[in-house]
Amino acid sequence: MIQKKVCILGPTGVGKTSLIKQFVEGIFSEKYKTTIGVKIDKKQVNKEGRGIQLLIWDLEGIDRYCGFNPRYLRGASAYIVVVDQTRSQSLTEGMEILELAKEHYPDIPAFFVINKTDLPTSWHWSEEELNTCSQKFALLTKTSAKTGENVESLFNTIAFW
Amino acid sequence: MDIHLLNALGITNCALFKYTDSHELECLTPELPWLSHVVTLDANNKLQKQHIPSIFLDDFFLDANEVWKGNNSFSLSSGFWTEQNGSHLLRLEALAINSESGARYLVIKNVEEQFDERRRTLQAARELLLSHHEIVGQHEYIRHKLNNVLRKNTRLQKLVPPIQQAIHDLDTGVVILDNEGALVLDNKASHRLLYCNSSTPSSIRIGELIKDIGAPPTFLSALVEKKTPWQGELFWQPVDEYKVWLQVTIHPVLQGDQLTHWVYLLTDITHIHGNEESALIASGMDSLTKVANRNLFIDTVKRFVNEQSAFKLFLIDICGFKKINESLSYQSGDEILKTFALRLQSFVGNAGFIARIGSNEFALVKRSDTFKGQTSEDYTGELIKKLTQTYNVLNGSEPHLGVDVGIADFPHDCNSAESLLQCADIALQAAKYQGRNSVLIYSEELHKQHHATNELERQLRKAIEGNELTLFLQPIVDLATGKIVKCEALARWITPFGEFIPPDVFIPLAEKSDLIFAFGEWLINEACEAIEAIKAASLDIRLAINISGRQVADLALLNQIKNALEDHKLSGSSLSIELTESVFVESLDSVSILLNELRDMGITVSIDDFGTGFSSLVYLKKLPIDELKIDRSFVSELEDNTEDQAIVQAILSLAHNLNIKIIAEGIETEQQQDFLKSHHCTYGQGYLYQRPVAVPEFVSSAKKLR
Repeated sequence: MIQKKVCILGPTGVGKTSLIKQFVEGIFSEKYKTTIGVKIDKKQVNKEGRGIQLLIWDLEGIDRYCGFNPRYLRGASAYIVVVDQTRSQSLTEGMEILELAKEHYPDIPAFFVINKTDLPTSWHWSEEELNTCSQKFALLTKTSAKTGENVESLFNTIAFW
Repeated sequence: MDIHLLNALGITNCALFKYTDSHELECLTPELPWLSHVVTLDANNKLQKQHIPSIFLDDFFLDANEVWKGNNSFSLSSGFWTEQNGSHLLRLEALAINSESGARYLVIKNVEEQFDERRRTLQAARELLLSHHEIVGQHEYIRHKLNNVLRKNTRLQKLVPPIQQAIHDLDTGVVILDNEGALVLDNKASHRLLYCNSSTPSSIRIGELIKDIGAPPTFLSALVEKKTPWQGELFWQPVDEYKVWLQVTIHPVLQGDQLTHWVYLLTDITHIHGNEESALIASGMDSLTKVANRNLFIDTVKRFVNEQSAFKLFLIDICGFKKINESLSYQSGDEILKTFALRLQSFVGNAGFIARIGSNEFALVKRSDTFKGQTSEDYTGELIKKLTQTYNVLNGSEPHLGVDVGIADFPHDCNSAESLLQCADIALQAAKYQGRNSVLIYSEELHKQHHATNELERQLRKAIEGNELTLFLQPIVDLATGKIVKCEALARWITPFGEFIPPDVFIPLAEKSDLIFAFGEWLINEACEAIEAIKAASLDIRLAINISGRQVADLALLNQIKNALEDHKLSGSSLSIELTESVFVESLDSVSILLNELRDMGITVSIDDFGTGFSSLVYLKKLPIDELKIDRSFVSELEDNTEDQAIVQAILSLAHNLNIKIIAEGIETEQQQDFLKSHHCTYGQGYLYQRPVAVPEFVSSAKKLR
């Protein structure tokens, strides 16, 4: 079976691990538990009789305590940059992370995820600004790791991109 | 000690593999129970590279193989990773090692304890980071809402009830004042946070808060002018029994250009501050600037070295920061350091790693492949531009900082973290020697120069302590009468090996080190002895000594001069001091105080090398100056150079109008003397009259001239 490596990047506390938990195990916890280092999960996705195994690399949030390590992106078929729509700072940081990833791997498709859509938007970014940001990515998806909104479809899309 | 014994004792919990000559990995600890979840071993305990259960470890082998192929001694870490073992989670770290003896190993460590500790620390730190973001977000939200309501051109009576209802139960303190500062509305939280009571309402407390934090009178009007809110964290202690860290937003509400209201938002962030400080220190961060501290930086440099990718290490020193702390207050100094770190961080972004490694020293490591075609000099040039932009501190000052930068390159300059830091430090020390905003890249040549400078400094220290320096005097004559009226004291250094070290080498060296203070003390005492000798010969000649900027900044100078004059029973009128213009640039106020004190003692003041510096006329008016010394560079070509003639005439005319006397330096010819005399220059100094000579020789020739 074909295997595809997908890396999940983003600032601290945007819900990277929660998105994977929702996708792989179908569960969600409100409790914030910071990720240390790397954890790899596997899940098979199927489409029209074809199966693909996703190897999802959950990477520690990039912030003042943990820098960006380009080594982890090696061999990836895609990577996702997750931001949190309740925190404007996360978008600024997310775009910086995209720049760094592109610097090292300009050819790997990047997917933009705005998470926590179950919560009211409380950032000051306009739709126009978001559009400008999303043009740098292969695709923008708005998700909720809590309700599962668009989570399955996000990974399915990436698997067969 | 044997690895099996260490594992059995619970001291370590790691798997060890030896890399064999046949490029196989032989497991020396096959009995570890968790190992089978990570690797597969054959009957001979050899690792099956084609079947590695751990995807992460399999990926790490790509890097590890490069390490084992190489000849250099180092180890590469995989970083922490988690391996799922049914319901149990393994926390692991792999190391590929090339030992000094040439042996190669793979170590897989079970790092459960370190992992848990790191998680505990970072969990706390990141929760605080997120809750602080949340508070700032809440302030933004309330500010926008209130701004939208308050700027509507509606009568106040209509506005108050809905706002009051909205803010009543908020945890965020809200105070709304009108454009005159009178209270319009506040809430319960603001009373608590501002420590209000019946006699001190929130409007009064807000005024006290602004005053207590040392904001300048223009602080609020500047916000109105710029149409911008201010956000920040403040520590406030209005009374002994109440102190608090506040997240504060100050927002001017405007209708067009017209100020209508002030909105103050306040949240208690004391818990964040207290806990953040311990979390930051535990995770290797500097608690003031919130960037990495020295220890974490050194670990990071070691990691970069182990990864064997090319990178550059920058050491950045803020010039004269002690003076900023002393002149503006330590609080302002801290504010500047925070802004400095923020500017450095935003310039570097995630493409490098920054740290504060000393009180006013920062460091940066940046991989060579992230310079995007820029040279490190160009990059540093832009960095300096950003870091030296004006700083606005709360007390209203706008200090201009200078920085010096030393750069070292890995692997070009050295191959270990410690020696690389030393290389960058050598470059930095040399840059500091060159003056503000200097950038130097480490080189062998620089290393040799540094070594030579250190050696010379050592010899100079010995020379001052051993009284090996000699005082020479050069006469200053009255151009109208030809009489010696004054002389300049000049230090001469001839080493015990007979080598003459010119003053333009050893004086700057002394100024860059603390030797200038010992040298200054020696000079003052020698000068007093020379004055005694002059007086003993019944000569009325004033003696001038040169004072450097660092001595002026040092409060001890005045006492040194007073004590020396007292010890030798001399009056101040026998002495004159010479300062260069550069001294005034940084500290006009402290210079002014010092000069007035010296004047009170009868000591006269000359400005040396006039015309070569910034030549601001402001200080000529403000400071008690008796004489200006026209620099020799204007005198040397005076016969033929019409521009020099014009400059000298202008200085003479200016000085005449300000009632300041002029000494022309470097007179070597009769023509130069004649030109100066014809334009009413008062005094002259130069080889035409006499070269600097030892004190006895000076006294005897002066006696002859009398």
